[in-house]
Formats: sequence, C-alpha cells, structure tokens
Amino acid sequence: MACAVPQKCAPRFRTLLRLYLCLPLVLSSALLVLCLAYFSPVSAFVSGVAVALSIVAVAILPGMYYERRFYTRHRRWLKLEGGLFVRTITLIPREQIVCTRLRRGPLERILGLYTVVLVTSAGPVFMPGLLREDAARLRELIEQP
Amino acid sequence: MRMPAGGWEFTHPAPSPRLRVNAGHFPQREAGGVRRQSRCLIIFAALRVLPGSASLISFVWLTLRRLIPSLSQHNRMCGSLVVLFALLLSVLWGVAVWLRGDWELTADRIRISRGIFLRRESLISKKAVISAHSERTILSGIMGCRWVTVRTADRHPDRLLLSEQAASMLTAQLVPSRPGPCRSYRAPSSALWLSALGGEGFAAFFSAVAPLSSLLWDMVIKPLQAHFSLITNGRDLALGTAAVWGVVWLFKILHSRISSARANFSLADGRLRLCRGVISLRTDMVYSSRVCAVETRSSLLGCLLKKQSCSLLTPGERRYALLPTEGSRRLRIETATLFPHGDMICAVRPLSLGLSYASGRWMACIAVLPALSILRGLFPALSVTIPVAGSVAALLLAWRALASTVSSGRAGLTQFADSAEITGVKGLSIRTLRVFRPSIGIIRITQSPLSRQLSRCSLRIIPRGNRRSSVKCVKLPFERTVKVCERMM
Repeated sequence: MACAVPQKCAPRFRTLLRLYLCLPLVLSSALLVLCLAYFSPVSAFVSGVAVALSIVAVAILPGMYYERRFYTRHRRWLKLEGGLFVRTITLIPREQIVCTRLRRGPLERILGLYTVVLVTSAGPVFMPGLLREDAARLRELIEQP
Repeated sequence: MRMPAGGWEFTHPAPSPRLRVNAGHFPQREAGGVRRQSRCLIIFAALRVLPGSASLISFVWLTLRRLIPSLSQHNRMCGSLVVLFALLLSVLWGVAVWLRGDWELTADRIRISRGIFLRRESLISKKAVISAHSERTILSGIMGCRWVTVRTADRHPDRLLLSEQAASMLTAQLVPSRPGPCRSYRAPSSALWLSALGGEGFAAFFSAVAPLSSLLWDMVIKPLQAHFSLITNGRDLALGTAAVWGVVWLFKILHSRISSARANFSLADGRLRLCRGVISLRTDMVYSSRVCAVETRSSLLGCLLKKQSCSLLTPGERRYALLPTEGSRRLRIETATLFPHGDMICAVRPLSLGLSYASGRWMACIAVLPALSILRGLFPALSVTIPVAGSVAALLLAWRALASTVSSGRAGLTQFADSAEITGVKGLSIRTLRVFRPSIGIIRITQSPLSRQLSRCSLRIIPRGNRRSSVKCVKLPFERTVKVCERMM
C-alpha cells in the first residue's frame, strides 16, 4: 500500500453525480415554480432564474466535486480528500480498517461503478465512483498484511 | 483498609471484599460444565413481566365479562383468579427465562446463551474481554447474588445473574490479576458534591424546563381556558410543572451523589478496579491496556474554580468515570500516575485567541435575536414559546461561546510519543481527549471556504470504537496540522 500519488475516481463518476443531483434539483425547482405561481403574481422572472440556476448547478457542481475528490494510499494510512464547498481530509490508519465492502446501487450498476466501504473501528468511510479494477486493487492492497 | 481521601496509597491488596484487587485466588478452570444462572433470576424475570401479564389478563377478564354477563356475579372470586393467573404467568415466564439461559466457562472463552423464542448465543474469547462489571443491588444483595456484565467491543454486553461465589469466580477468571502492590485512590466527599452540582446540570435543567412549560401554556392551557371557565389561573399549572421538574432535578443530583459515593479505584498488575455506589455497589475490573482514551472534562464553572473530572473510554462506546471533580493539578498527577505521558513531540495551537477564537459562536448567539422576531411574525399562536425557547437557545449558545473563549488558551493539539491530546469545546463543557496512538480511529480535518482563505482548519480525532466521544478543535493552522497528523499516523 505504498502509493503516495493522489488518485482520482473514475470520470464516469461525474455522470453518476449529475444523475444523483438532477432528480432532487428538478423536483425542488418544479415545486418552487409551482409555489411562486400560486402565491405571487410576478413569478415568471423568479421561476426562470430558479430553473436556470438548477441547470447551471447540475452542469457545474458534479465536475467541481469530482475534481476535488481524490485518495492517497500510504504505507500505514489512507488519506481521502473531498468536499464541494467544505473541504474535508480524512486520515485512516490502516490497522483500524476492520474490513472492506463493495456496494453498488442501480445507477452505479448501469455506469459500471463501485463504492468501496471501509469499515473502520471508528465508523464506516465511503469511497464512491471507483472502477471494478481500481476497487478490487484497493481492497486487495488494504487487506494485505 | 482505610485509605486517605483524595490521595495515593502504595499498599498490598486489602482483605476487604470490595477493595480486594487480587480476586484471582480461584484456580484456573481447564474446562467448565454448562451452568445455569442463579435461581433468583426467576424472581427478577417475573417482576419484570408482572405489569404486562397483569394488564393482559385484566383485559381478557374485562372482555369475557362483557361477553358473558353472568360472570359479573362472581366479581370477587374472578378478581382473585385474575391476580393468581397474572402471578402464575409471570412466574412461568421467569422459570422459562431461567431454564433457557445458561453459560459455560472454558480455558479460553465464555459461552452465554439466552432467549426463549429468539435464542441468542455469545461466544466470547477471553482475549476480547475489556472489562467485567459486577453490581449488587438491594434486592440482589438480599438474595445473595450479583449481576455480572461481560463487556467487549460490542455495544450490547451480556449480563448474568450469579451467586456471590460464582460471580467472584467468573470476574476473577475473566480479568485475572496476580498478587502484588496496588495503588488506591478514594474520592473526597466535597468532590462528589461538586460533580453532582455541575454547571451543566443547571443549563440542562433550564433548557428543558423553560420551553416545555411555555409550550404547555401555549398549546394546552390557553385553548382549555377558552372552553372551561374553571381554569382561570393556568399559569399556576406551568409553575407546578416547573416545580415538578425542579424536584426531578434535585433527585437527579441526589442519585448521582449516592451512585458515585465511595468512589475509589485501585491499579494492580495492569488491571484497574473501579468501585462506587452506596445502595447498589458497582465494581468494574478493566484491563488498563484496553483503554483507548482518557477524557478530562471541565464545565465553565469548573474552569473558573479550576476543577475537572476524568473518565476512561474503551471500545464499544463505554465510558468509565475514573475521577470525580477534582483540582486540575491533582487530577493531572493522578492521571499521569495511571497513564504516564510519553515525551512531547510537538504542539499546534489555534491562530487566534480569546474573543476572536470563538467569534463564530458569538455570531450565532447574536443571530438568534432577528430569527426570533421573524418566527414570532410567522407563528403568532406560539406567542410565549418562541421568546422563551429563543432566549434559552441564546443563553445556551452564549454559554458555549463563553466556554470557547475561556478555553482558547488551552485549545489545540499536542503530540506525545505515545498519544495525541486534543482540547476543545464539546456541548457546554471543555474537554481534553488523550487518545493513545494505536487507538486513533479516524482523523478528520475540515476547511470551510473562509478558512481556506485564511489557511486554517478544524480538526477532529475519533478514538477507536468511540464515534460519539470525539473532540473538535477549530482555527488551527492548516499546513502544520496536516503535517502533525500525518506524522502521528
């Protein structure tokens, strides 16, 4: 596990994030448009802005999130960096990783992505958006004595 | 054996059963047979289900009486039968619990099985045992038995009701200790009163009472007043509620005073023996090597009076109260005697001190006021609850901000050769968490957009198996914190 080069998730992870983001944003903006149309007579402009903002968010935010998320394997620990606005660095000692799990949702299955769950003694840590080979290799490296 | 209050004593093990450190006189059992718990378990299990069985049989009886009107003529006899049936059902349940629960101790592990319908069997290796807890309540004391709890890293420990002799044997087998010198400490009475009357007790009390009583006024009494002319002075009811809460709080103080009375501990051969309580006597035998962190806690009032309390954290979210509220210096000495510090390697301190350290928290405190006026406009029906709840929230936030301001001088991360020490504010108290290096579970460094501009971060260390007991320190220099944390790994 001596790879101190930061590694990124698979590029397809951006598509997955867009899909994850699309549904709640579309629903919330539709709700907002309906609310404004019902309560306020001058809603056309505000509704338009809300919809435009939603589209921009769906287009830009997943890319930003993807660019800021990477992980680094060191000999004795694992470092995960991520976060869209609030940047988070998580350091996990290797000996605290109890086991690893693979998790795949329906969208992940469609896109051929995997989420590796590191079960540590201080709680689970999720590493989403990995390709099959990367996930398998990561698990193998972590589970090496 | 008499011990000096609040002091260390280097002696040989005491003959008293409560203070005996070397309970391991019992020969090591090579192979043990299957054993049952004490027969007193029947009574305990029966008492536990008695209310349920009584209500069930009463319900059946009332239904039958409604269906068969002739039964009403034999009310007295049937009432007695109902009571008898309830007792019989409870006792049968107790017998079933006793029959279906057994335990077996072998050379390297203990097997505990229980459950009537859903069987649960635990196989616990002796190496996995973190502590053995034995408790003698009034009832179990009269019956001559004790509750023994075997604690592992699992959050749900296994509990057994055993006779005095079997309990002593099991505890000694699970956490054995060899004869040798032991160190003992006994808490002085004043420290116990101080811990019972902690500053946070006041805050928690007022934060619970004030919004509840005002909500009662808004939601119950005002609508009732409109319908029933008899309720003229509803505010008395709110005061009555507050008085009841006050009495409950006083009972809480009394309970914590009694339960932590005669608090003492002794250390021998790497095993800590923690005893406390007057009415129910609790004894914990803990492997000191399996302690993953030492937490020192000080309320705002305690900080001003230079008083702190200390507890030990073990995996499985288990906390053992080690020392009650004591002077900071004395507590430092006692803790260092038990868990000596390694050499200090480096320290990281916050970039700002005093008011600027807690500026975010002060801002949150101020932001409550405009939020209150907006909420009052939105919900006019809650005219009492919103101001009261808002002022309590502002009070709690101000308390937290003040604690942050006071603790800014001590806040930070210190790296020792064997441990990492982090000081910060959690809830309403100032906490110092000393996590031993092999027990560091996760280190989390967070940067908000503003912190990124100012090149500072907040740090949280989560000990192994204690996700809820982490402490966060804010406004640390980013680059240095990352370097120190990486070195700690």
